[in-house]
Amino acid sequence: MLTFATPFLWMFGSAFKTQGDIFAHAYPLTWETILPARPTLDNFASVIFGRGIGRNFLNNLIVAAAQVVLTLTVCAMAAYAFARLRFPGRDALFGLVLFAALIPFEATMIPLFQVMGILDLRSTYFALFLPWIANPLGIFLLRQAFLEVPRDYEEAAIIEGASRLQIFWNIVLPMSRPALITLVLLTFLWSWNSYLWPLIVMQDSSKQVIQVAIASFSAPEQLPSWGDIFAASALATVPVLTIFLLLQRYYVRGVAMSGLK
Amino acid sequence: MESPTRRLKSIVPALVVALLLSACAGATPTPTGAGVSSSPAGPSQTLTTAPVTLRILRYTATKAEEDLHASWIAEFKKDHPNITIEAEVVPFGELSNKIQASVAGGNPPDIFFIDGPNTKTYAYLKILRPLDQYLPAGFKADIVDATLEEQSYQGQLYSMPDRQTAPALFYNKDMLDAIGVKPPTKLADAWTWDEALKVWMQLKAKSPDVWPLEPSRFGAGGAGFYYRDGIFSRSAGDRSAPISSSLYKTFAAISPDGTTVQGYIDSPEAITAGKWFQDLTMVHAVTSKVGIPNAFLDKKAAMTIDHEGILGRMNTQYPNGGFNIGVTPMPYFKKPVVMTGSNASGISARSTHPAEAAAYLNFIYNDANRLRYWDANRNMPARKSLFDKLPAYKDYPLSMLKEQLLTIGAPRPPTPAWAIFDSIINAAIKDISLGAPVETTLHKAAVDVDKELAKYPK
Repeated sequence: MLTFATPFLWMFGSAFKTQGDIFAHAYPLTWETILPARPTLDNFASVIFGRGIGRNFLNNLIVAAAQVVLTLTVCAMAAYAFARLRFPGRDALFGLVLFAALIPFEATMIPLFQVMGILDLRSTYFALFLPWIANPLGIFLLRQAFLEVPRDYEEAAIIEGASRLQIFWNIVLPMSRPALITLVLLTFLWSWNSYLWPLIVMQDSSKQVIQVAIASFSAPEQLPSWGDIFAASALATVPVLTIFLLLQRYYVRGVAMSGLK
Repeated sequence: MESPTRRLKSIVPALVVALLLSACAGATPTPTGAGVSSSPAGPSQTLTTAPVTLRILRYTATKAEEDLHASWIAEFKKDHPNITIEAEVVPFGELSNKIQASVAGGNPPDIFFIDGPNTKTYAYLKILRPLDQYLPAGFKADIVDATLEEQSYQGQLYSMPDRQTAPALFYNKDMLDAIGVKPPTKLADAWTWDEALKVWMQLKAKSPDVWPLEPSRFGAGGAGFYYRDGIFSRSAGDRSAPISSSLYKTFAAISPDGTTVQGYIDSPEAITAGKWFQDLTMVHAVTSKVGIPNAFLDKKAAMTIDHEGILGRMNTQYPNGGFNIGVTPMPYFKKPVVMTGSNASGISARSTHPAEAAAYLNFIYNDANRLRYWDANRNMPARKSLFDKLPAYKDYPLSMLKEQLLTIGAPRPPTPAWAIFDSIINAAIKDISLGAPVETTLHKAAVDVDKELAKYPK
């Protein structure tokens, strides 16, 4: 637990230190290594008011929210089709979906960049989340969860005259809540922490995400603004830590349901 | 987990092929010709009067530099109302990724800002276009020799030099005073590395808790950044020795035709220098094996190999005045040498408005704007005549740094394969500093670099 927490504590502690104090007590380890001896809010003021990090924070929220909602929608519908519907080539198609998960992003980055250009979506919020909403891992995760839902419930609903959509919405989704929440959590983390794709596709700095904005704090030949970097990193970490702590119990159950345990 | 940047580097060879195909796919566009006006773009260039949008990709900078870039765009627009400039700004470390992606994606900006040593790579890949036809008279001849060599390819200038750096040995004057040492202030009196080591041992004896020499702040921290650590081996050579001699090869670090580094980075002199360098960590323990961020400015190290940018960083950390800082010329084994290099900018080979792009570059690189630029960042200019217009370079310490740049400055080994050369040699230097056998490590690095050089036929 201490090993896990120490980097976070150091980051949060350093966010409240002056530039000169950040590494001054790094070694040997004392309480001042983590906690600020002369706490200051200057770094937060600098990144919020000076660098306008709030705008980047908002961009992340917009992109992450859209990505979570659309990923959940697309993956759930695709997963249900793979889990319950019978159609020619279903298993082969599912195999292709899984195969897609094995292709590294770097191999698809340039073609994706070109596609975004063809669609005239570069430098839009859509470009930041649209390529990722049909998530192979998400489809796999939800398909495994949907397979765990007893067929008896669905058959009873069919006898009662329920449509596929009603079964999907009223039976399958509620019974797969841990897996859905797990996908929410994972998608939010992927989106929030994305760096290379926003760097490549976003040319409008007012729509840039917080991870790229933080990387821009350093200028060549200059001393990195350590205080600003730690303060912005601390701010960027808060949503991730919060959502993880809130949803972690579902995450464990969701992974267990998917058969990944 | 492997970083995205590192993973991207793993696909560079494939990207090189893609870039070459991309570059060859379309002929270099000619300037637009819907109406012309007189032009500052170069000797025979004319500018369109039709509306034009120039896209610029550059790195993030300090507020002073950002303000200056904004002013330049506004001032240029005033003189060229038909030309609109859109700037995209990315972290400096991501310029290369961004450039490669934008070119491969068929959407390159008109003007790139780049890391100077990458000029030859971009020229070779036909990402940048040659600039000679756009330059004002005398401009090229005024560029510092090392810079001109670094930013040229096949005799043509491919990127405009923003500024220059040339490292020296900076020191905490209070700590040196405490052991009664006054380092030389003139290049002619520069220490040898052995003389420097004697001082480091004195410092260690006096203050065991302070590292005599700061581990590198460059790269990932610690040993393994050729710009800094390559100085040790190159100073064991001699640029004035016969070209076929081992001494010359040790200095050059690559063959004149750019096809091999065997016998150059693993010459007998380089191996001896490598062993001496290894002893700094493994025997004498005068510098840390691992990086210590900010050690010199935090007074945890007495000396550091850095460039003049450290003076600005000192002011950032200690706005009310820090400790007394001094600088001495770079020590050497056989002949002094310092590695040069800094930022630059060039025009995309696929720009449809090269004359207009050149006009903008010529505007921001004219004397007046370079002096404003110096005022914003205080890095050395990259043109010789500008030093005469900056009185600060008449006196120590800047006069000494200028002298180093002009007389012992050398670019990093000139090759289109610079990035991969750098990656391989950096790993070898790091391994050596941690105790790897010097001769076999350098030889393996040389063999590996040669394999990469073979991928860049003339």
